[in-house]
Amino acid sequence: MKKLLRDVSIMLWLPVLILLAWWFGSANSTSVYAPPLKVIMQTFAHDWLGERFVSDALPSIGKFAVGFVLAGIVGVVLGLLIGMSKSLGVALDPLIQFSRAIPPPAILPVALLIFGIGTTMNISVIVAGAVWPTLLNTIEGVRGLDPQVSDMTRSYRLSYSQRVFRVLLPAAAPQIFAGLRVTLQLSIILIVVSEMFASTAGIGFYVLNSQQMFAVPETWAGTIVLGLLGYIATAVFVLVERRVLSWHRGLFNATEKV
Amino acid sequence: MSAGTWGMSLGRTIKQRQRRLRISKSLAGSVTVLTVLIIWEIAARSGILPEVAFPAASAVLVALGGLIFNASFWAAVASTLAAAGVGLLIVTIIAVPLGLAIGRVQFISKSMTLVIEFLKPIPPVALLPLALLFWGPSPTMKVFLVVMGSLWPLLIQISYGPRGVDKTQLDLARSYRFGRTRTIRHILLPTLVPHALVGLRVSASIAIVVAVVAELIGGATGLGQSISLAQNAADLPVMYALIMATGLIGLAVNALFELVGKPLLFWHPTMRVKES
Repeated sequence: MKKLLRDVSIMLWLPVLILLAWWFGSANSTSVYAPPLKVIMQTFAHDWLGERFVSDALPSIGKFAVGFVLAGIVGVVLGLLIGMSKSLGVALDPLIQFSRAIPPPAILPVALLIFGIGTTMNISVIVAGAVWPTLLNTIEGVRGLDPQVSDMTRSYRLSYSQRVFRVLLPAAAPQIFAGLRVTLQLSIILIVVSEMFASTAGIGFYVLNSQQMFAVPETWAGTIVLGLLGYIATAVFVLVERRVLSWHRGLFNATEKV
Repeated sequence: MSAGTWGMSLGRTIKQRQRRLRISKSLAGSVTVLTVLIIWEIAARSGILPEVAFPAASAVLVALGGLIFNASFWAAVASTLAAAGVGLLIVTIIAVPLGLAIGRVQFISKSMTLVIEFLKPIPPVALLPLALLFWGPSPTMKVFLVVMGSLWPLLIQISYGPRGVDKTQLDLARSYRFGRTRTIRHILLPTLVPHALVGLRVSASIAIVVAVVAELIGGATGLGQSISLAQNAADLPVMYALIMATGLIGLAVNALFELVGKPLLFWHPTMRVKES
């Protein structure tokens, strides 16, 4: 009990100190740019715990979720196909390497031209920009399958779907999840950027618009919302990853740490 | 044939085969690129791809060629790379001591956990409006965002470094009475450098992305701003050429890291696997 208390206090003292310093340090702030934390929190509660949550936050979260899931599915499926075929991999490699090197937000103008302002544009930007880490990691994961296991599947005459779902996917899962995690981060960045770039609603639009209107507390409040969104999405992802990869974690700890 | 010459000729055959494999690989790759370009050209010319969104491939390539002799393009490239570079330098100055401290001292690592876990997933673009508020569309704004975006990969990789040091090696060093400098030189650095390079590479690619975003949306000078200017001028070939150019720059930075990494890491297991 005592040890637990000590551990918790070691973990908490710094965040608490930072928050207190911010709260009291800014309490009497007259700076236009750094309003008191109290004002920021009031704006946050007023703007984001009410109808704005439904009108601006939910659509953004929905678009982000759809985009991320699509990017993940496309990445895993294409990655499986490319990873299983050597010639496909060799042929597509330069194209993939090049596309992945393009900073994802740079495709925003193109997406805007093709789809105009709207949900389709937001989602297509996420899929086109965030798919690469998952795609590349799936390819590597599939290629990295132990040749002995691969021979085994052949001598056991596993069917195609058995091979994919029972052998390849589980074997590549740790790497796929590592890729998905980067895809998730990119998806969040891209939904925010695409709403900033061209949109009439959404969290990203709200924050940048507040800044352009010089509504300082709103800008801070919006930034906090974006930070919370990033934090919660990552936390949920980590939970799912732990669940799905629990078998791997056990194996990993048993073998690699000897 | 003696064993020695046999071994040598075997080595030569393997090298030749590797070279042939590489050539056929790059051949297959260029064929795909060419095919894509030709399909793009035909689709754009025949109107299958909407004309408002897709210029012909040849027009884009001409525009890309024109950029090479365009001084303002190179100024934009320099401005983007400078922001990313300065940002990375600051990141290194922060991440190396802090990462080492987190990796070595339990108290610091525990105290920092929550702060890092909370700050890390915040998308760097979320800070863009605040940065604009403070500094306007300036290089400072760009560098600030680059630092906030690319700090984490390097910091976390470096904090893994000290934990990965082999205890047996440390004991060995002590029993051989290695001094502090020799222990650092022969045991700590070889464990740290691979981690640091991995982190730095990820940080570098994030740095470029963040710099481009800051220019595209924040309006600071650089490649991102050039893209949005070309878009506003409805100069599609140049816009596409600029997007391609950012991709090529990303590839070049990646290649640079591989070049630097090779002589530093030739002894590392991952490199040996790559050779075979």
